[in-house]
Amino acid sequence: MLTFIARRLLYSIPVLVAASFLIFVFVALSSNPLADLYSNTHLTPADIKVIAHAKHLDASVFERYWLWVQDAVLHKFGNNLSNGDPVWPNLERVLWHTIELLVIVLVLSVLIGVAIGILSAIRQYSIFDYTATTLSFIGFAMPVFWLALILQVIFTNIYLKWHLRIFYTAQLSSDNPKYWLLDRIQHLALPVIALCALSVAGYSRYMRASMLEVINSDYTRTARAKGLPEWRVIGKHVFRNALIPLTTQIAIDFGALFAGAFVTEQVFTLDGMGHYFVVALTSGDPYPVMAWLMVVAVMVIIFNLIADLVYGFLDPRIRYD
Amino acid sequence: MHRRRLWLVGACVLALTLGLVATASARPDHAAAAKVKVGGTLLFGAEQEPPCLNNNLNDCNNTWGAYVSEMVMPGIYTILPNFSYQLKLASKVDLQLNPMRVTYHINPKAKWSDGKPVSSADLVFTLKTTLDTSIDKAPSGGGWVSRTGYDLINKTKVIDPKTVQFTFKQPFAGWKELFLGALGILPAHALSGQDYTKVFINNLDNPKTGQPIGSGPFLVKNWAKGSQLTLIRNPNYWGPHKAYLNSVIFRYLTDSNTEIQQVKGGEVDAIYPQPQLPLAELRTTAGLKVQSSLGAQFEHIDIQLGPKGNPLARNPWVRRALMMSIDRREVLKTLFSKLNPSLKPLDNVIYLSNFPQYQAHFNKWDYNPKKAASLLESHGCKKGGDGIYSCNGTRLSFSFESTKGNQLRELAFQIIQARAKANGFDLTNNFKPSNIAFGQDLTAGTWDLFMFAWSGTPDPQGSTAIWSCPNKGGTSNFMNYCNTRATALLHQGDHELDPKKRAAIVNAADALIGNDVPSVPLYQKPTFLVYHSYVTGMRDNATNQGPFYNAEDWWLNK
Amino acid sequence: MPEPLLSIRNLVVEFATEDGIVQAVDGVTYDVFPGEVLGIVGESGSGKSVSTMTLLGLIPQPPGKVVSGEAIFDGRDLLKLSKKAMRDVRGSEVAMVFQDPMTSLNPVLTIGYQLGEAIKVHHKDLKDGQVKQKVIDLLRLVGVPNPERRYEQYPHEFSGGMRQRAMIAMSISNSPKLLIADEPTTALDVTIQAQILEVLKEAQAETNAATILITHDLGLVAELADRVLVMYAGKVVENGDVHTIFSNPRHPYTIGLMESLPRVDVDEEWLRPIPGSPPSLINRPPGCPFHPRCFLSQGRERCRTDEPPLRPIDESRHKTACHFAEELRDHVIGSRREVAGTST
Repeated sequence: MLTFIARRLLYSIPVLVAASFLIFVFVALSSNPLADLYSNTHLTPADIKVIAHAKHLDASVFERYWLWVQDAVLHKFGNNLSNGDPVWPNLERVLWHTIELLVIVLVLSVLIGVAIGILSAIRQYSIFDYTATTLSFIGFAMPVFWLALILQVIFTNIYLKWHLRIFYTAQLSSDNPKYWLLDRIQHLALPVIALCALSVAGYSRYMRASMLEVINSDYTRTARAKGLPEWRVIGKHVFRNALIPLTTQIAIDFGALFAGAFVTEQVFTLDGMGHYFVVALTSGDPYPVMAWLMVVAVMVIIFNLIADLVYGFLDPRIRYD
Repeated sequence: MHRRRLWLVGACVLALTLGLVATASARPDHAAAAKVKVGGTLLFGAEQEPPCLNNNLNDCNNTWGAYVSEMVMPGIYTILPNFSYQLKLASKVDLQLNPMRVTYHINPKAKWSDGKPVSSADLVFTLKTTLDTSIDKAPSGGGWVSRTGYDLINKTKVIDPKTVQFTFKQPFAGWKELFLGALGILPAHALSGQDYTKVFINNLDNPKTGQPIGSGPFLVKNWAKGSQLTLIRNPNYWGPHKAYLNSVIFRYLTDSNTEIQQVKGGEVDAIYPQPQLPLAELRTTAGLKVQSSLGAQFEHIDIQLGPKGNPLARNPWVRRALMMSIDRREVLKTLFSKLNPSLKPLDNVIYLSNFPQYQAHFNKWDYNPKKAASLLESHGCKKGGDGIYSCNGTRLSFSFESTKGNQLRELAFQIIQARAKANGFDLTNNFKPSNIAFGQDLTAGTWDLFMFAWSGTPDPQGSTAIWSCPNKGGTSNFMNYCNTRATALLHQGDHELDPKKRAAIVNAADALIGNDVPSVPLYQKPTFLVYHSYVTGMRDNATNQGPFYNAEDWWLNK
Repeated sequence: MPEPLLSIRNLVVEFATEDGIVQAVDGVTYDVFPGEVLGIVGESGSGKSVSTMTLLGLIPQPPGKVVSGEAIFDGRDLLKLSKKAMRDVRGSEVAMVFQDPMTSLNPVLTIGYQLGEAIKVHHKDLKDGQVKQKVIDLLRLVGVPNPERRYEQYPHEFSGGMRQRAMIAMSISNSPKLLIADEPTTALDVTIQAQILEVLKEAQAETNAATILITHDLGLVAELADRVLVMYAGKVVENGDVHTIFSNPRHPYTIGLMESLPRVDVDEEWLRPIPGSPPSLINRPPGCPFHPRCFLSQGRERCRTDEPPLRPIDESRHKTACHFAEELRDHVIGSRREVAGTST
């Protein structure tokens, strides 16, 4: 297992190098950081040439790529081309905020979705099953931003009517809270609910379908024929097998969650990756954009590795040496 | 036993009585002012996070950045809500003519937070920095915002550390706008020798010591980017009293719906939003107070005449046809009927509608689709199959930039776009987040149409930098508009000290601008200050100081 | 004659489907005696698997339904047992071996674990070490080489034949009184079949369990069974000891089955199937279910109107459900020349 992990990490390095080159070529060559300088009436073309040379913008692609790589590795992605602010502190800050949000959403939605899926499958065609199905479809169809707005209005009105502060409607934390963890939970609750609604809908459906397939399989029949109580049949034999296809879905979903979080981050004014990327992209400054893309590439690789390890843990037919 | 019990009972009765008395006196009384409570934190919801705090640089020039530095570094005068000038950092100012000389007597008590007195050296240093053109060539910052007036000072005389006299080579009418708040007076001892484009970016600290610096009631303690900016009471404030509040925190809420929910729900204590439709409900929400006034801010659509804009815009008849294709009354009716029903379209870009000198000059291009059509057609434009005019083969298609997340602007755009389309203009949505729109695009001129608000000063001198030719003092002219006659008039007006004569000259300039239509004025923006009723001392101020001009007088009655 | 271990009387099992009610098992009656091997033969859809799975309650109750009948096993009616009581019976007194060992074993659990589970659920007092030892012994018994190592392996690491050996080991782990083997060799290739046959014999000898062997393979029945039951369209059509059935079948369907076996000693060009196809089990018409394909019926009225009961012929232990079984007394297998009957 350890050699497998080591090997995978080693394979990742050329992938990252290739990714970094592609990122650099596409981003740096498609943006022109000198654009706004041309219209600055106080600058002569000669001034602009000097500035361009100082920023190495007149060098070849490979030279610039190599300079950027050095900057990225040695100086943590270097500085913004426009105002000279270092890139990494801001990017790191928003990265942790987004990870915090997404990990909570992922864990909660998997736990709840799996539980609902299992119950729906065991009690197929019961009232619970029909209710869960209907709610799932509503959850799919509902736009996340709409749900976010509704949640804000609801909880503001709760406060106005009963003077009870349950959840906050924006930002990540209050100024100087008494109990930091509780305050954080109160702030993250609404964005988590808004994002979970979508994920839980999906996972519960997949889990239900997966469970039904396994419940009707031959080995489940064998387990029953052995005289095992039903809870053991479901818990030990059905559940683990049903989880395997779901793992693929979760791995794919993580990328989608990243994107869905953009909107949620905007409505709840969460200082996260989504907002950072939108700002960086529209500003035309290539450095933060490239740094962001590299961070995402690394996250995708890590997450895929974790997903593969979970596979191997769940399914002994896919074991790695 | 008995005695102790009696004593206990007596103490309880005494405590109760004192308590009753205390609460009675703390209850806000209409007749007598309630007693000020010192302490507490006020959370102010801000809808834009400035890119940086040094708002003398174009790339940092942002209203909410200016509000912060307003509280930290006030100026010679404070402009009150009724547009009158009140002495602040100076105890006396003398004006002499022939040649024009202004003598500033700095308040003897005025000092910086580190104990050094505010002195003539600071004014001299500020002048020097303002006139330093190397700042415009620096790789970041975007250049100095406005030098108008400062560039007329040709002689400086330091009489004593607290008295300095400036001589102007020509009379400058707008002299009261010099050395005002929001980094209008810089600390010489902290900034001398520093690269100005690198200071006050993420804080208002003395770059030499790393400590916050200021001459006002507050200091910037901490800026958690993306989240909030914290100001704390300046313990060395020299004013009549130190700030009542312990701290003021700007919470950045970039979504306008969220802002409203936050103030309603008490997560922030006050907001000062752009006019928004949902604000109407706040007028009737229990526990909230609303102050609204018309100030020196007006919403307008600038037209880019520079190389990066649509070349058709360089034809005045295109611009006039555009203005005549926009129904401003329809916009006002849809947006403001509940918020401010009496709002009218603005027809002067220098003297605004509630100023005595107001004269309507733009109204000859008021909404008139027939006239617009005949104007375009008389220049050979033809309507295409999609209803859009083409002039000499080029479609009348313009990108329309403004700030994202501002519902009222987005709604205004839809109304304008629909009406313009019906009249043959294709306007495409190019809304961007505010710190990109302002920090990057506006100064770069990479847009066709840009809708935003100028928050100006009551003195017309501020308009000179906007409407003069870019190479003739138009440092805030991002439209690349140049009318030499108008520019000359504006500069002349800046030197005319007789108010009546000045008004006539400036209005003549505005008439020329109104003829050229480099910009379509829409309406004078009402301000909305919304705060909880326990917030005391806040006053709406429609100048660009905002309600922050008297932040030291704020306190929380709870 | 000893007492039967299992007595099934008039068992009727239906399935509710979209097209109608399917009569999968339609009034089936038979006995199983201790220590004997009963072979049940028939085509797919004859009800042979369903009738035995019903005994263990493995038919999902919607859409399936046990309409009537009783199955007396060791003094109790299996069909009326509580869920808990049924669980105690499953895997300990009555055990089952399924058809496809690849899908019948859980792919994510080790063989050792699955076998151990079968033992532990019925013997909670045993320690883990004892259970492991027992599993290893069982694996050795059924001929799995190197059982200590195999204990830790997963089903996908076993070959087909070995998996079936493990299944058999699992089924006999609690010394059941009745072992039901549902098509145990169908999914395996021929050489392995012979080995599994040996294993089954060994298992039977070891535990002395009564065995129901369900198959469509007559060769298997000939090798292993003591008595044979022939089922068609959810009914028992013939019933007797193996020698009698093979040498003197007394039902046209049984004869058809025998004759359809390819023979090595006769040079024939064509196989001889039974013409026509099995009837739909929904809304079956009256009369004998086999008559549309029967060479003996020759369109006789009685076959179409009266359902023939299962009755003794020649001796009491040989029963057949045919009106005209007497006419078959001198029938020689392989003598039919004509292909009779019409298909419906």
